[in-house]
Amino acid sequence: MTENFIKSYDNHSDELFRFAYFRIRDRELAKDLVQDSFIRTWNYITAGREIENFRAFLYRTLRNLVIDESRKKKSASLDALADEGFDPADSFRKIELEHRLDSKNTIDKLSALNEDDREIIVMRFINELGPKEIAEILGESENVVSVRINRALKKARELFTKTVENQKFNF
Amino acid sequence: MKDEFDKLIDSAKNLELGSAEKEDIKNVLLSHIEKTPVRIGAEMRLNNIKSARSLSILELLSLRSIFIKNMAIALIVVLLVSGGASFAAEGALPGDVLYPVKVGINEEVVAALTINSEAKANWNARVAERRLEEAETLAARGALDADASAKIAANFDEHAERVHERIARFETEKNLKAASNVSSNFETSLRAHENILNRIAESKTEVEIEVRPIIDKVRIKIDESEKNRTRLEVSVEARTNGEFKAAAEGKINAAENKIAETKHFIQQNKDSVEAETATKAEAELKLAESAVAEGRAKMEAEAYGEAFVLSQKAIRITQNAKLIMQAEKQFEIEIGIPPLHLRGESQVKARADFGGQESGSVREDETKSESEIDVESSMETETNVGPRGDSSNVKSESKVKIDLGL
Repeated sequence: MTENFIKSYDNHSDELFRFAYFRIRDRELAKDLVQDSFIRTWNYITAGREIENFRAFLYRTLRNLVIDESRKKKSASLDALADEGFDPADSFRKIELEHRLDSKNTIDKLSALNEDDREIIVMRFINELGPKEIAEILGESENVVSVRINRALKKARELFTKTVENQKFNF
Repeated sequence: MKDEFDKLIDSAKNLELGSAEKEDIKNVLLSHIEKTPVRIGAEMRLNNIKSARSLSILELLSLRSIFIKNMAIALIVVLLVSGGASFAAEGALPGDVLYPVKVGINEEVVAALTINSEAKANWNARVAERRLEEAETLAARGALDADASAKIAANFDEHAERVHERIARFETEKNLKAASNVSSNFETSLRAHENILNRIAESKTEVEIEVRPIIDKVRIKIDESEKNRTRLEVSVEARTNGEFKAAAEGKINAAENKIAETKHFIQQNKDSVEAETATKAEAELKLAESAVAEGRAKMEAEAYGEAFVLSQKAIRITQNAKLIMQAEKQFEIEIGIPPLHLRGESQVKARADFGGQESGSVREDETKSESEIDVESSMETETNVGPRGDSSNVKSESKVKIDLGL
C-alpha cells in the first residue's frame, strides 16, 4: 500500500530526477516535475486503475511533463546556463576530485547531444534501463529502440572524443 | 581503458537528489497521500506494484496488509469471497441454522484479518454490539428465550472483556489516542443499547425476564467504560504539547463529518420515528456542534488534548442520537434520548457564534476507526481457477454498498 508507494519513491526518485534534469537542466523545475509525476501516479492508482510496470509508468508520466515544459520554454543555451550560475556540484556525491571537476563539464557535454539522443543515453547508460523497458516507456518497438540506442551511442562517442581531441590542442 | 564517453557516463550517474531535497518531496507526497482516499481495489494494486500477476483467492485472503485499518472492509471481502453462506449468515440470530457461521466463521475471519491493534479492539467492540443487537431483535419479536439470552450474554461478556483488556494495554503502551478512541466509542454504543434494551423490555414484558441479565451485564461494562473514559480524558487533557495536535485536528474533522452525516440521516428518517425523538435528536446535534465549536476554540488556544476530548464528546452525542433513531425505526418502539448528565456527560457550553462549519474534509484514518460505516467499496478480483492446467480465468468485479449501521 502506501509503504510500497513510498518505497518506490525511495528507489526511483534519483533516476527520475536525472532523467528530468538532463533534459531541462533546471534543478528546481526537475524536482517539481519528479514530485508531480509521483503525485499523478498516486492519483491514478487511487482512482482504481491498474499499473503493470510501475517504474515505466513513472517515467512515462515524467516524460510527458518534461515534454510539456519544453514546449513552454525554449531550451537554454549553454551561455545562458552559465549566466544563471547554476552549480551542479552540490548534486554530486563526494567523489574523486577529477570527477568533481568534470561535473559541469558533463552536463555541458550531454547538452551537446540532441534531445532524443540525450534522452536515450540517459535512460540506457546513466539510469541503466533495459531496452525492453525503454521501449515500453517510449511506446516504440524494441527494435526501434535498439537502433536509436546504437545511433545515439555512436554520435556521443564521436562528439566527446572529438571534443577531447580539440581540447588537447588548446593552450 | 575507459574512453571519454564512459567517464562521462560514470560522472553523470553520480547526479542525484540531496537528502534534504528527497525528504522535502517525500513530505509533500505523504501529505498528498493523506488527503487522497484509497479504495480497496487500489490498495490491492499498491500492494502488487512489482508483480502484475493475478491473485488466487488464498493470496487474496492473505493480503492482510490491506485490512490494516478497516475491519468493515475486511468483513465485506470475507462475505464476497466466501460466497452466499457467509453473506446470508450475517443476518442470522441465535437459533438460526447459520448463526454458528456468523459467530464462528465470519467474526473469526475478520478478527484474524485485522492487524492494527486499534482496529482489533474496535472489532471486539463491534462483536459485543452485534450480540446486543441480536438480543434486541429477538426481544422486540417477543422471541428471546433463556437459552439464546445466556449465549448472547456470555459472548457479549467475552468480547467486552477483550475490549477493556486492549484499552488497558493501550494505556500501558502510552497509546492514549487509541485507548481514548476505543473506550469512547464503546461507551457510546453500550449506553445506547442499554437504553434500547430497557425500552424493549418495558414494552415486551413477556421477555423482560430474559432481557434483564443482559442489561445487567451491559450496565457493568458501562460503569467500567465510563471509568476508563474519564480517566483517559484527564490524561489526554493534560497533554498540551503538540503531540495531540494532529489527532485533535483529525478528531474535530471526524466529529463534523459525523454530525453532517447524522443530520442527513435524521432528515431521511424523520417520518419513521416518534416526532419527539427526531426533535430531540436534532437538539442533540446542536449540542454536538457546540462541543465542536468549543473544541475549535481550544485548538486556537493550542489546548489540543482538550480539543480532542471535546470532539470525542461531540461524536458520542451524535452517535447516540443516531443509534436511538435507528433502533426506534427498526423496532417501532419509542426509546427516547435521555439528558446528557444521565449518560455520564458534562454539560455542553451554549454555542456562541464560532462560525461553526458543518462539513470538514474527510480524514480517512479517523473516520475509519469508527466502527459504524456506510461503505461503498468496489473490488476487482482476478482469480485463477483450476490448478491443473485449467486456465479458466475468472475476472469479477463487484461493487458493494453495505450499511453496517449499528
